[in-house]
Amino acid sequence: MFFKRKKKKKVMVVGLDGVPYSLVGRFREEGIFPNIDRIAKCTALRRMEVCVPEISAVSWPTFMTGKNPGTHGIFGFMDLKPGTYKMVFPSYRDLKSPPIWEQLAQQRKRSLVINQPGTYPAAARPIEGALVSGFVAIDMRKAISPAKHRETLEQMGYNIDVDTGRCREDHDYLFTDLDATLKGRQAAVDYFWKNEEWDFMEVVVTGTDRLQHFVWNAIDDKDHQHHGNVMEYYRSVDAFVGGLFDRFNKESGWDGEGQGFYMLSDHGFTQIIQEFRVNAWLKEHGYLGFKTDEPLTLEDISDDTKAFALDPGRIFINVKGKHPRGNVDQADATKVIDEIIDGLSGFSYEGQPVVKKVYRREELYSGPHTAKGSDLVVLCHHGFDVKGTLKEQEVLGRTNLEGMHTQDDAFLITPTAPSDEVVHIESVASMILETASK
Amino acid sequence: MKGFTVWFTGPAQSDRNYLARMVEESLLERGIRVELIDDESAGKVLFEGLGGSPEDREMAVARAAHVSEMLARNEVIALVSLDAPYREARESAREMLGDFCEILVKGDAGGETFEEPAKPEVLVDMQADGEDQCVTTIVRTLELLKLIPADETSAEYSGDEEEKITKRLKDLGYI
Repeated sequence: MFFKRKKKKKVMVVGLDGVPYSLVGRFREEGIFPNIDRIAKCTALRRMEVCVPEISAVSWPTFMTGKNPGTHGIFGFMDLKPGTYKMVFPSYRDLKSPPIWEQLAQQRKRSLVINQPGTYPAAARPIEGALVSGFVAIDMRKAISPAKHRETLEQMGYNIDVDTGRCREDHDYLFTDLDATLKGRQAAVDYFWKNEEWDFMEVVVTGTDRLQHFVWNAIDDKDHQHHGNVMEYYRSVDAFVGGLFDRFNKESGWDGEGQGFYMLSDHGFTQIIQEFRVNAWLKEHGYLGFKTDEPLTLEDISDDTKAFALDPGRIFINVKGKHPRGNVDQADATKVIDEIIDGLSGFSYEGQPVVKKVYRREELYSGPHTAKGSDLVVLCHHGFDVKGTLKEQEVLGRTNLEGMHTQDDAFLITPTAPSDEVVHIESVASMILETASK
Repeated sequence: MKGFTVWFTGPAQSDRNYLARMVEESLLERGIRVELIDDESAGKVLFEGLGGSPEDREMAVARAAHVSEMLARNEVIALVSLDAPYREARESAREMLGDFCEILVKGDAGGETFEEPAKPEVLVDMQADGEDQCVTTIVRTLELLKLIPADETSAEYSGDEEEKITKRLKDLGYI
C-alpha cells in the first residue's frame, strides 16, 4: 500500500527596503529588473500604502505583526520615556504583538529571517529557526539568534548595514559597501538554506534605501557620475531576487511557479525638494520654546512650551499631568490641536502646499497602546521631507540627502491577486499566514 | 502575581538542573518568589524510596506536581527539574497545574529512554547558545506569556550603543 504524502509547502518573503512601486514599474520596462518582471508576470503586483509616519521603524513592525502601532507599540525610531522628556530607542523587546514567525511557530513551522529591520536584539523574542536582526542593529553579537550562527556569519564577512556615515559623504565608497553588503546577504542566505530546515524564509535588502537616500538624483540623471553604478546595483539586487525565486520554486512544494512567494517594500521614495522641520515651525508659531539657545534634547524645552515633535513629524501637546512640565490644560488640548492642524494645513512653499494631512492620533492608531502615540502626525506631500530635528532653526531647508520616503508608493507582490487594487501593509501578515496554512 | 510552574525537561545528560538554578537566581534578583524542586535538593526527601521504573517515575512527577500546585496557590513560582522521561506523565502534570511552562533542554540521552515533549514553550541548547542566552530566552518567554512582569528597569541599550544608534539615524536623516 502506498500513501501519497502531502508535500510540505514553504513561503518566502523578499523585502526591498524603500523601493517604490513606480520605480518597479519603470525598471521592469527599462530592463533593469528582468527577474522581478518575470516574477510579477506569474504573481500579482500591487501598489501598497504604508503606515504614518512612513518610516522603517514603524512600517516593518506593522508588516511583521499585521497590526497598527496602537497595538504593536512601536511609533517611531525614538520614543519618550513615560513621565519625562528623555528619549529612548524602542527595541525588539518593546514589540507588543507577535511577529509572523512566532505565529508560525505555534504551528511548529520553522522560520529563517535575515536582515529584518526592527528585530534587535535578536534574542529579545523567541525564534523557532533563526533570526538575523536588521537596522538599527549595531552589535553582531546581539543581532543573531541562536548564537551558534554568530561565528559563521562573522567569518563570512556579513554586514548588518553599510557604513552610513561614510557612505553619505563618500559616494564612491557607497557602491563598494553596497556590493559587499549584498554579497554578505547572499552568503548568509546560502548558509542558512543549506544548514537549517525551514518553512518560512524572509530576506530583506536595505541597501536600496541607503542608495536612494544618498544618490536618488543619479537614478534619473543619465549624466550623473554615479548613474551607471546605481543601475548596476539595482541589477544586482534584481539578480539576487531572481536567484532566490528560482531556488524557492524548486523546493517550495507548490505546484505553480510563484506560489508561496511574496515581495514588498516598507515605503516608497521620491526626490527631496525641501526638508520641513516641524519643531522650527512650532517655535516660529509660538508653540515651542527652549531654555537654551542651542537645544540638544527635548529636556531643553521651556516651561511655556505647548507642543513639541519627535521624529519625523509626531507632535505631542505638552499636556499637564501627561508631561512633567506640561502647561496645557487637558480641556484646552483640543483647541491647540485644531490650531496646529489649521496652521500646518495652510503652510506652503513657492505656492505648493507642504502638508498633505495632519492626522489625529485616533485616526491612525487603535489598540491598547494608542495613548502612547503622539497627538498628531504630519504627512507631507511628495518632495517635502518632514523632520523632528531640534538642531535646525530654519523651517525649510536642505542637507546633502537627496531622497525621502513616501507613504503611498510602496509595492507588494503576492502569489495571487488580492481583492483590492491598493493594499495596506497592515494586511500583508494575514495573507502570508493564510498562505502558510495551506 | 499568580504562581505557576516552570518544568525543565531534558534527557539525562542535559544541563537542566544547572539551568533551572540559573533561572531561579535570575528570578530571585527581580524579587520574585520562587522555589526550586530538583533531584538534588528538595527531591532528596520528596522522591525518597522511588526508583527508575515507569511507575516510580510517574509517582515522582505526581509528587512534584502536587508540591508545585501548593506553591502556586501561595503565589510562588515552582521551578521543577527532575528525571521524568515519559511524556504522558508530564502531560498529566501540565493538565493538573494549568499555568505551566515547559522548557526542553537539549542534550544527549546517552541511550536512556527520553520522550521529547510535543509542544514545549521553550527549546534551549546550552552547548550551542550558552548559559546567558538560554536564561534570557526562558525569562523573556515568561514575560511574553505574561506569567511574570516585564523588567522595565533595565535599559536595552548602553550609553555607547545609544550614541551609535543616534549617529546612524542622523546619517540617514531620520532625526
